[in-house]
Amino acid sequence: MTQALLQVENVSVSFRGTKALQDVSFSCKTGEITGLIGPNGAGKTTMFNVISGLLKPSSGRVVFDGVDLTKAKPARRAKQGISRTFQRLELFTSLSVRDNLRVAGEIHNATRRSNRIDIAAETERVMGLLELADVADREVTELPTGRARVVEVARALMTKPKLVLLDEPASGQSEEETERFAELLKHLVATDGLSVCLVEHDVPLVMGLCDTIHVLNFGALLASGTPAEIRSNNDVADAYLGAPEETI
Amino acid sequence: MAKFLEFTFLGLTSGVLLALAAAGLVLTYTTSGIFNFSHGAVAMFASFAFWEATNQWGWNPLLAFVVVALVATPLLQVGIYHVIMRRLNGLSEITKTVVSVAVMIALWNLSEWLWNPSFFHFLPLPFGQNGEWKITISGQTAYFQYFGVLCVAITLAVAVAGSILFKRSRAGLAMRAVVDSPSLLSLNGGNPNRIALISWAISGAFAGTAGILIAQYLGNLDATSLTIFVLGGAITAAIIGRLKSIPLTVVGGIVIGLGTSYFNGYAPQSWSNWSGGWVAAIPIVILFIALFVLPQNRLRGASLVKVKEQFAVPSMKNSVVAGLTLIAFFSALSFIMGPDMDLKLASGVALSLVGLSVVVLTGFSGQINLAPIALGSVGAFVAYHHGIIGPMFGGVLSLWGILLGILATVLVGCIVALPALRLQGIYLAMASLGFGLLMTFIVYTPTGEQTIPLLHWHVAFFVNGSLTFPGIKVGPWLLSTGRQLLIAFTVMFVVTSLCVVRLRRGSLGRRMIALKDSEAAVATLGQRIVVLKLAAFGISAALAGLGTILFCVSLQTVQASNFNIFAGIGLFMAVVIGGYGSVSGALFGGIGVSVGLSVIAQTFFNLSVSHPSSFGPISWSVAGHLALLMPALIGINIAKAPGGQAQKTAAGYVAVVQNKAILVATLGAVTIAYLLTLTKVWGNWWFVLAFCVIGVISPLTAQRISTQHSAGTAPAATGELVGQR
Repeated sequence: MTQALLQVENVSVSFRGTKALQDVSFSCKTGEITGLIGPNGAGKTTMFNVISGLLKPSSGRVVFDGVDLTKAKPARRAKQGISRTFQRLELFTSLSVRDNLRVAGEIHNATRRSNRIDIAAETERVMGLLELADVADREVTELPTGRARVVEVARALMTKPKLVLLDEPASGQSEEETERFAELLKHLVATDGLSVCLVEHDVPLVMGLCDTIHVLNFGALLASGTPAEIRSNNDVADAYLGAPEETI
Repeated sequence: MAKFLEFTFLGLTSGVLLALAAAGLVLTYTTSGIFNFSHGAVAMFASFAFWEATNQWGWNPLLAFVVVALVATPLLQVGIYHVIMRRLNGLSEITKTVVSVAVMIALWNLSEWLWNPSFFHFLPLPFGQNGEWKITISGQTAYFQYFGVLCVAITLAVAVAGSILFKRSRAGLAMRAVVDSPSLLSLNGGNPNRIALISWAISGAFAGTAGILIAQYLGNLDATSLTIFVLGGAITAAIIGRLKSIPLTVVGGIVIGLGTSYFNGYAPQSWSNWSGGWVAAIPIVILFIALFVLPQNRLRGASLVKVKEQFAVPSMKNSVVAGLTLIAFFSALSFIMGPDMDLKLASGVALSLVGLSVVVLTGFSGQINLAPIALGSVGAFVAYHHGIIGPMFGGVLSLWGILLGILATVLVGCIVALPALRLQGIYLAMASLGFGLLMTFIVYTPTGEQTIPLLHWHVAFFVNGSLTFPGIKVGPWLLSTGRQLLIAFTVMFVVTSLCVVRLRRGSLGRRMIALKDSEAAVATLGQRIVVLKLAAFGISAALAGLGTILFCVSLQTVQASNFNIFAGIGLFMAVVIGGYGSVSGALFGGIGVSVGLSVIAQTFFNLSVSHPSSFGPISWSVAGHLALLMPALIGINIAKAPGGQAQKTAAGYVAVVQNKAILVATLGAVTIAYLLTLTKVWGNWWFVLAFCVIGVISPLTAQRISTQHSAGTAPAATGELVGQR
């Protein structure tokens, strides 16, 4: 049986009395793609912020690779192997595409005594993998949103993570680009041993890509299961997906 | 008991006034997102206007108060917001800070112009010195002035009115809504801009009221001390309110007032030689305690919007060529200028080194230090007291002394910055301003030997009110003449600049730039934010220390006014105007502050003395004041050229370099002008004039030729395309 790489246990978050997350527990397994779906305002990005350390939960625990990281700063979590992208893009706008990747590699090397990477070689490899070579020297602000999201994914991969949290990576991408992106993710999971936790509104993508799906609604966990189980879950259909035949 | 009650009442009086001023500061910050550093200057301006109305025009004080505090000052604040601040939407915090700082300096310059600081401006207490109650408790008499009761009553009335406005009125509801989400307010039919205007007007009334009452409380009107008093106190109170809670801000103001009053009343007599400075410094001490205690903010993110301030990264080769050209140019200048001008230019180069500290800290890592000279003065003091070999008069400054000074600056800088680095950028700006004020109160103001309380150490920062810096000993050479210092400092500036360019092009520089763009992304990639910020601050402090030590050497005799908080703010502003992300911006700022501005203003003032009659509609003296106001006015307009003037000017010279004929002609003309000056065929001012004319005509001609050339080739290209079709 596959080991749980990330365990989120009873996490709650409140903003001035508004409960953004209520007692949510789920896990992401090693070598799998886990989906986190739900309507807008369900708490998906808040959960990513808790996992990556940008937000402290009011209660609950975040355990990664057997280590309790609940009180750890974002940098420590990155060092442990968690990397992420952002729903609202957080690229380094003063730098070119290549330098965005390069600086990620430099941070990786500067904060580790072992497992350092050959930054130049890794930058070219990742750019090749994500088909960014043609825009390598362009400023990131010149790119359309879809490709800018790919740059964020590439930058996240530069730190050699064990788990990458992808926040709506397909948003702004064409259907064809999304398909290629899905194939790439499958490839990375199969060959690099990467685990992925994915927040995405593109339901066909999530259903086709994920091994396990967790559904959030109003900050609470509504359901967990395989894509088939989620598809047939009436509560999920009522809250998010709509009638099965309409949406899927 | 009587003494305690009396000092409590005095503390409460000043506390509520600071709370009133600070409440206005928080109000504008929460509703418009701009931390208004000019708030203290607005309050100061109101108090001078009140003095003018009552003392010069003979107005009734109550009428003057209503007109100035409740009409004119709100209008001034509304004008500042509508004409200047409103346009800063979408620009970085750095630009917003510079603009509000520029407004502060403009108001300060304007007040010095309108109300000559050499004259005494006095505001009497409304009820006179004897307007007080006397209460005797256990044989001791306590005095409670009516004025204090008036201040508390006015503040209470404002608090009640404000509370009703916020909780009961539609405008108050909209103000609370705009704090939470301006975009959501817009979607629901609200107008965030109108709400911001109302809040700036209310803030103006707060500043006006507080300014007039504080001026009466202090008695003597002085533009610098009033601005500093209000700004220092209000910033601290605002920080206690975490820049969002007005009730907590009011509590903060009262804590500052009481703290200052109790210190004043109960500090031991043996501290008397320090207590004067410390009483003024109490708000700043509370500021640092508040910064230390405040919980860490959530990490700042940024959206994918191209910030308007973009700086080109020069290649090392171009940087070396530019550096060698600068050394050659300044060396050549040193042979035609007099020793005084050599020293002035040398001090400009030294300030450019301090400017480089702004480039590293603000341009690369996005943090703000508003007091680079005050920070660098730590190094200057250490170098002076521990780095001079031989007798105090006639000795030499050793390189070890300079190094020791730099290390001390880095150490003190990091200690000062550390609590603020955990927080958002604006807090570091405030902490640095606080540090500058602290240095002013504790270190610069007292003269003669001081005894540090508790530790009983004897120190003398400013011996006899000034410090005399000797020349620098480098191996067998002594650098002491103007020419020697100018050439040596220029070489030092070029070498340091090349290191800064190398830093920017390297891994650490890239990480700093990434930090400026998105702290959240840098943190989630594994970088410890505080460590990176501290590295940037440490490098910046070292540059500030080195620059300030060299600045002192070039001045020879250093006075407290050279380290004035406005000197540091002025340099910061000048570097931002020049371009805070580039070495050329630092040079522009340093030379501009030391040479350009002072020479132009001094020339006008000299002319006003020799030619007192008017020059057209403007007298020479007015022209001099306008010249002093110019940087602030340019700073206010920084949003129009956020990349900086140096980069803009350099872009004009690209065409000159690309056109060999123009380049040769330009160099030839400059060389001829130089040789004519060197051989004393004409004077220095003719060289300056010729240089300026060539400097303007050359890029304009090159650009015109370049435009004509491209216009001439364009139809041919179009013709080719047509032909191909």
